[in-house]
Amino acid sequence: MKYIIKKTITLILTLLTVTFLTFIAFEIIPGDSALTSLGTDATPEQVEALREELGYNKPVLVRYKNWLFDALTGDFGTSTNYKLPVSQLIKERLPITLSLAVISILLTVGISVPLGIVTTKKRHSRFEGVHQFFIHLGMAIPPFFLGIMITLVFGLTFKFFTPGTVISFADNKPQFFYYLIFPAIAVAVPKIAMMTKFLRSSIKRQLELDYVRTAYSKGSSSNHVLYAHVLKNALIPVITFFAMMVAEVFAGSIVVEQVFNLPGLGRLLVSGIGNRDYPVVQAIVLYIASLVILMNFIVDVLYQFIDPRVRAE
Amino acid sequence: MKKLTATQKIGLVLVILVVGITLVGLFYTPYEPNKMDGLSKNLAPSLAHPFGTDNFGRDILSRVMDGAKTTFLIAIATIIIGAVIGCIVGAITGYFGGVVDECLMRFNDVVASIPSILLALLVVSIMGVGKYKIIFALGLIFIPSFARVIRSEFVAQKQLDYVKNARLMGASHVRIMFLHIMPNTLPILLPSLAIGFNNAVLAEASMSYLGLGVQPPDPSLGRMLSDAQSFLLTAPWYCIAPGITIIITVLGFSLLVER
Repeated sequence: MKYIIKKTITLILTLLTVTFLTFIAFEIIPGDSALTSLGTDATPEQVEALREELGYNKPVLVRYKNWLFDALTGDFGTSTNYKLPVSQLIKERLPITLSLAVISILLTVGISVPLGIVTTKKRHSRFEGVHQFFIHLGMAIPPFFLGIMITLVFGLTFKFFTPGTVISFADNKPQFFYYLIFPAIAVAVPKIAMMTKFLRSSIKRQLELDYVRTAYSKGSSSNHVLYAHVLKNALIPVITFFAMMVAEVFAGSIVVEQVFNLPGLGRLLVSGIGNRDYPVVQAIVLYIASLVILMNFIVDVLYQFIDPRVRAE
Repeated sequence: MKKLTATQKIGLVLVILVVGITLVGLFYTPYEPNKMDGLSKNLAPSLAHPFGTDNFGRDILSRVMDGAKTTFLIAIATIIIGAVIGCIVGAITGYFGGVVDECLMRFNDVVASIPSILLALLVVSIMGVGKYKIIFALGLIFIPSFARVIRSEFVAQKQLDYVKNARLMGASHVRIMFLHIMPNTLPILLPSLAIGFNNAVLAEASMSYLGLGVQPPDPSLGRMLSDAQSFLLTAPWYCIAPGITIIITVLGFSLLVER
């Protein structure tokens, strides 16, 4: 319980730091946003009036507090480019990014865990070098290049999907998910490689421990040792790694959305940066960062229940 | 010198290949990388143009050689910034410990919890795009990871007898930190540099692909891929050379430092 309280305090401090960073980052931009939004013809009085209205004349900390409380109620201001509330823009695009992330994570876990176990079992075979090579190859492929290759091979050559088309969730649910599988593969392949590598080294570390020798000397088969004893312990550090992976999946999908022309958060972010649409950029950075931080918090708390050693500390 | 394993040898060959071609590209490219030629638009790979030409009739091999140079320079500059500052911060906090250490490491945790490309995009959106800005943005982002690695080494090393010995002999803290402990962190630092280089190459390529990194007419591998995507139907070979170059580079370095 004490642990959870401590973690919660850390969580709040972390979130405060991140919000403050994202807020202050846009405060130090040279140039006056009141001036930019009014154009060059504005009189000094008009600029001053708008500055007053937008609250730019208040001290930084007061503005941070106001901005934070607005953000907590879901009000991230108005996009300077779309002239729409940022929260509405995000709400429209979040489902695509989330679905893409969830499919990618499912693919990553679903493939890397069996792959890690099988290749570790065969680690003394002469294909070990080949396993290692392919793991490193997977990690070396930039997701966006893989996306382009998938478009070229599965989209243009085999015509499994039409590149560039966007299927909305409301129109056709199965098609919506079908079209997300291809970008998800592009996001997932490097993560599968990383996760497999991590799992392999985690299992190998466990296999060197004394309890494995004890289990063998009791006459357990190597399968029994692996599945009943080793795997339980080997998967614990993988959970932490998994939380990192989730962050990476979101990062990967920012770029891959661009490749597959998916109208998700990533595209909104990139176009926001291009258009100097700061409220949008601020909100999306905050959204993804908070999501990742929350994920890490959940994992930390999960440890409590999974690993008795952490509880004992 | 330890004997290299088979995978490390493959890595070494790939690294030599890529670095060699890039070094040649500093002095000689088969064609002028930015020279357009209206008569040879979108040519398929041939003997004259081993990787074909792009939509402006520019030779893709020459552009990849030039683009790899840009990408590598950015990646090297990035890890120099990240490693130098990260090492100094990590050394000081790890060696002295205390409140500053605690605060910086907490801050480090916060930064580490945000995906690095997101941070880079944040910095770019504040400062604008361009070659030097991307170096600054990525360099900034690589500081925490180096600081963390070096710090944990310093925490472990400062307990050892040789440090106490040096201290007894009257060596100053700065001398101990940088002349005595720092060389002992090399076995950890060198692989981190290679991994950092890889991450920088991938990050630069992603940023340039998004149009937020190197600006035209400077060729960059990411930028070329972004251009190539528009011509997937007419010139599918366009995307191969820049993509493969990135893969070979990253694969080479990561195989080389694999233990």
